[in-house]
Amino acid sequence: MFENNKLTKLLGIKYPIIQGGMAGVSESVLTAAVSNAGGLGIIGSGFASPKWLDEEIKKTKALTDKPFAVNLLMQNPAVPELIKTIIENKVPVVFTGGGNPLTILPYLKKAGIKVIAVVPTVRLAKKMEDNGIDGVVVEGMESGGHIGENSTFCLVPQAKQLIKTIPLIAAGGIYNGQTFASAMILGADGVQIGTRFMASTECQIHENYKKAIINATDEDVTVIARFTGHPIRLIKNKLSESVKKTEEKNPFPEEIKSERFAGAKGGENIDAFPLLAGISAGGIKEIKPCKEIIEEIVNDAEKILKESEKLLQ
Amino acid sequence: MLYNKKQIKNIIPYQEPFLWVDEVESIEGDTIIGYKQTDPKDEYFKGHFVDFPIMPGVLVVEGIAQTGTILLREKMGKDHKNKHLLAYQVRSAFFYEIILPGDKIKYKVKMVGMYQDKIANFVGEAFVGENKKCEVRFSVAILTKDELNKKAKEVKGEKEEKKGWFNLPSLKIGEKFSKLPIIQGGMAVRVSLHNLAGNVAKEGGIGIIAISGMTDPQEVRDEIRKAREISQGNGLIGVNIMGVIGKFKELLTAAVEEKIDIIIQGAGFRTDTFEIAKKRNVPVFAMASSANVAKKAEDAGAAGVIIEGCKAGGHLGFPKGHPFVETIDIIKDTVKKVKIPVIAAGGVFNGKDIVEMLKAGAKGVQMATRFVATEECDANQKFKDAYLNAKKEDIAIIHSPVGLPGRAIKTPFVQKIINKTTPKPDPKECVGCIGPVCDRTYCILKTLENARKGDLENGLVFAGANAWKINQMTTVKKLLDELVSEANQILKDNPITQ
Repeated sequence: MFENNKLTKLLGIKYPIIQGGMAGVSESVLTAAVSNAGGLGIIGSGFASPKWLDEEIKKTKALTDKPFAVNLLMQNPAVPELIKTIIENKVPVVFTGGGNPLTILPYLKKAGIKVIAVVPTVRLAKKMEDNGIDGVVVEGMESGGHIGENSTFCLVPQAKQLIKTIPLIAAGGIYNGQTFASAMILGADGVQIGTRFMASTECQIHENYKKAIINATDEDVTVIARFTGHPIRLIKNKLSESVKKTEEKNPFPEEIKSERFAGAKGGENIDAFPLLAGISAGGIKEIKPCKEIIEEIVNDAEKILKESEKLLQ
Repeated sequence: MLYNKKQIKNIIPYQEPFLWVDEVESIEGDTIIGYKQTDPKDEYFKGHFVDFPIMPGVLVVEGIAQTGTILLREKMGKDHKNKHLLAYQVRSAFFYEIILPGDKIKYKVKMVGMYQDKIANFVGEAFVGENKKCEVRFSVAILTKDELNKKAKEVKGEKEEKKGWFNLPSLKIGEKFSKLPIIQGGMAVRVSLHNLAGNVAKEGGIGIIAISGMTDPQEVRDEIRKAREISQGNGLIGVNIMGVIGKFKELLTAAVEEKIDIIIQGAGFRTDTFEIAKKRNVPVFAMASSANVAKKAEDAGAAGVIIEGCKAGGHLGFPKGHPFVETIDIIKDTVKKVKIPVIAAGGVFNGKDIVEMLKAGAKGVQMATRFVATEECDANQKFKDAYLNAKKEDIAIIHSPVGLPGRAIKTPFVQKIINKTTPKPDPKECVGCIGPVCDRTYCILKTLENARKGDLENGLVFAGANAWKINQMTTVKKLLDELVSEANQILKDNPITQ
């Protein structure tokens, strides 16, 4: 299975399933669990310090001998030092988000590190391919946290028309066998999954956060801070509703303190922190180990794809 | 209390009746708290509303904004006195409950952001007691006083530019355009010939050759050709001819055949002017000294009319029984009655006068006197010196044999006219220059010719009422440059908006 898949071949993994880098959420335990299960785990470094990243990489390495990656938030002023840490620790893959990765590409390439960029539009996806990036994630606005404008359903086939050489990875709204299979049919070589892995046994977020995800329906997921130009998708709680109330008054962007909506593990009181999550939360009903999540997705997809001929009858 | 009303007035540039905060309780960090005590007797309650007085929402917003600017000015430090704070944005305003006459309004205003010391963002609230009445989000722009003055000029300029002239406009003569709306008045006899007219045209004006007093059509042709040579194709060249002169048809036909750009016809209105002019499609501008005559000229087919008021030089269009009228008054009257372009003449001396005439509705001006004291003027230097030396009391109104009053400089000959001791014209020498209208008190042709040749003993030096103001020689170019720059200087700030 997946012997001829561009993504599995590029990364040396079993399944073309990537656990999305989630700042403040995905760290060594989750990353190692996903990699051990045959996918690719990613440490989300967000605005973290080089020291934190160094520790998490070392912990991950202690938990797995499989490939894993680090996600770099390009807005983090510490990016140059984080790159040093990544190179020193011989991390095989770097994912980038929230900015242009082409400036750092030469340094990572020189160190033999594969670079995959997360982008929100077809144009940027093509630009990445043209500039020597190894793979590209097109992320639809179904995803959690900071989102773009396009949907996965439209992004993937449109990007596929232009992306010919490097692996194309679909992200946003993928969480089970059906959505994984659909993404492959839309033209993706693999998928990046975030929210589903938050509701995993290994994810280190608070149990109440996980419960909020499995209890959420599609209507419980909303978007705030659209007017700032940096919209955020999350599960409704008192915090999000208070922001919405302020938004009705056409506030100044500085009144919505975006640092209050950075990813976090959360705590007992689910109204006290932002419950970043994708729309897929509405379809996630059980907390499971990453291995089970991945195998279920792959097995269900296999079944669906094999039976798909019936759709034409 | 942190500040009372008097102290507030020292901080922000407001006062009654537009001060909407009368007490500041505190400023802590980015938040200010102030008050406004309303009084049921306050003027605005009478009109808001007639049947139910409540505090107008806009005034609550204003009060919040004024309170916010106290905070901002405190934060700006000493320098704030050099700055203006302007309303930039009211992002949102909510009015939750009404405020009644007599309520004491509490303002709580927080500055939430400041961008490059140019824009400050505020969230303000108004309370009465514990009840929130209003919540406003607004931005204030910070400008230096210089910036604001510049902006004010820009705004003013932009608005007026669409409908006004900030420079001297061009003047349409028939199908052609003259760069400058300035006609050099024709001066007979032989004072304005090819040199003056050609140089005026060369500098973008309209040069006029006075052909009255000539008898040979060839002279007319030669003058026009020479003038054209000087002008090098610039400007426009025309002729001025009196309607009463003897060889009118021959002279004018010669000029028309030379394809002059404009005919100016005065002293004796006649319709054959238009017939002759029509052959070469030359526009005719008629001289007039009243709106009624101007209207008649328009009806007869004149392309324009030159209104000559009582300050002109030479023959004046105010025969016995007609009171002298100032140019500007006739202009104002005429522009109401005719549609053709109206040109102002008589006493126009400088750029200020030009602007005044254009603002009164004239499309251009005709000036003669000032062109006499130019190097290029075709008269003898003694003639020009008479202008330079003349004092105010040296300008006189005399009787002319054509039956009209005339304005001239008091030369020895003028004294003879006044004393009625002028020699009677010799019938043998009379060429019948003005035909039967001549009253033969003296020979106007001969005396004008004498003067232009420099014989002031026996010559009549015609001049406008302002001739005494001229003290030095100049050139046509310098004179026109001076007039244009004077006019444009005024128009820059006070454009013509007609």
